[in-house]
Amino acid sequence: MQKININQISAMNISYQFFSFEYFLDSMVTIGCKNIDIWTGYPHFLVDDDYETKARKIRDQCDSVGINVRNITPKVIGWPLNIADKSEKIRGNAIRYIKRCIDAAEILGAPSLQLVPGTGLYDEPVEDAWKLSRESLSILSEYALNRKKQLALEAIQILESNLVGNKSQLKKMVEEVNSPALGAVVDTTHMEKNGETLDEYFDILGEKIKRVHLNESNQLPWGEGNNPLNVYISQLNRHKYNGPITIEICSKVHYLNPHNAMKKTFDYVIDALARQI
Amino acid sequence: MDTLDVHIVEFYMACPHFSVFDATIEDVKRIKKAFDSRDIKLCCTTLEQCTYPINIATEDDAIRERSIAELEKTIEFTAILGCPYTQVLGGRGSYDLPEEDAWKRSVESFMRLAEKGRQCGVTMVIEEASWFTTNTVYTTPLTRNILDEVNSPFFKAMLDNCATETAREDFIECLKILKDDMRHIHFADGNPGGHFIPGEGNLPLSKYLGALDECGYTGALTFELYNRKYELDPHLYMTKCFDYIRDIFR
Repeated sequence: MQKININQISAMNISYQFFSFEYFLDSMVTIGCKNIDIWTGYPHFLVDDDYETKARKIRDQCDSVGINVRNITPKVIGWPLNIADKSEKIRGNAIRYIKRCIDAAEILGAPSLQLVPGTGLYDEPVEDAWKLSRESLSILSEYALNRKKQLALEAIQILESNLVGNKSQLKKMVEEVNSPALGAVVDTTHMEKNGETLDEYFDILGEKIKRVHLNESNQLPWGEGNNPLNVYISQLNRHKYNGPITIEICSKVHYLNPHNAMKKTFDYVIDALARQI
Repeated sequence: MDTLDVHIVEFYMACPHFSVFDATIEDVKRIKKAFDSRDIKLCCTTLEQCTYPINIATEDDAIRERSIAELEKTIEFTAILGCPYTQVLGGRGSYDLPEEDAWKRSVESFMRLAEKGRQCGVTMVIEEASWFTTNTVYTTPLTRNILDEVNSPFFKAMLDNCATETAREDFIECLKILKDDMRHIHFADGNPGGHFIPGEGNLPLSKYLGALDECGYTGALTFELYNRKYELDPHLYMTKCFDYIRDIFR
């Protein structure tokens, strides 16, 4: 019987954004977390013109403490980087930025990146923005394919996107882009909010699922909400999922003490993994 | 705004409406025309400084310089738009590093920006933000301190009644601390934060309005519905705000 292994699990730096990247790495070492998923937000890693120098520095810092960068999550939500924007300029910026993130992933030794669909304006036809998102995702998939990077698209909530918000829309977009470089991410926070289950995601997306965001309700630290971690782990095992998993905390009050919040989450997950049958 | 017959707006500069990073002078002129044709005047511009990577107090020199450049561009655009004020935040240092250093960088940046303000005839108004946004200016006494340190007629202050309540401050006391340097208001209901429409929180809104009257405030007051719960039907909720305020004037 397959079991989820701790080596599949990466922690994301998003909840450490009020602290330095060095603080985040120290925290990972203290917690005993070997794998990280780098969210390219400010102040940790802005993927600017000088991204190669920055990426090399981050790689050296990680190498020196034995930490692996397992995934890159380009920060785009909340920034003027929208792959479905009707302005060619904004869309072009977003595509260029994500391409740079793909190149940065190579320097960092990360095999994959997580993407979001972008959004249209809510008073305009969804189909138009959908087409632009699909077109951008196709361009990015082609780019990633040539560089042997795996992309995975996440369905996000209605306040972030009016394009891909649930399993059916995610399946539709992944199928329409139809590239081996583009898979799917399932995030248990958004999934529960939609009243969906991991079983349903695996039933319709199957091997297209390339990453799981194993998150508590409202992306709180594990143990502070009401999502059933044990149920998720047993479903992942039943579907023989042995791919990467990211744990994220996206709750602002916890950003002021990110180390304690992540330690709590990591310990909670380790405890659940120890009890899997 | 046309439907609501509102002719003063605060222009929040962020995507998808307006990206300062990407905009050209022609884009700004186009926007000005759109406002002019509806007889709308701007009371303040507000560059997105919470979620965008803009931070005038960061220890990262490159990001700080770029942030100053973005704000300089914002000040230029604000002048073209014929608007007197632009809102600014104090920025932040990494929370594991000394707060005093971030403060010094913030003061230095504002001194440079005040010079730009002087050239363009645009005054910055600094807003205290919560500890979740900044570790430089997060109370009214800190606002007073930074005004005094920067000491420029192009660097003034504003108040957000939700921010003052969240910082456990007395609004009337804040007005006394800032006096004539208080030039702009963000107004919303809250518990105490939340930036709700009037009636959805428990803040003494009419008390604030009375206090503003009392101190002879003649500047603008912006309904800032900085809460995602209103974003899927923004027109409806803004209508409710104006129903509230028109009722008070009646």
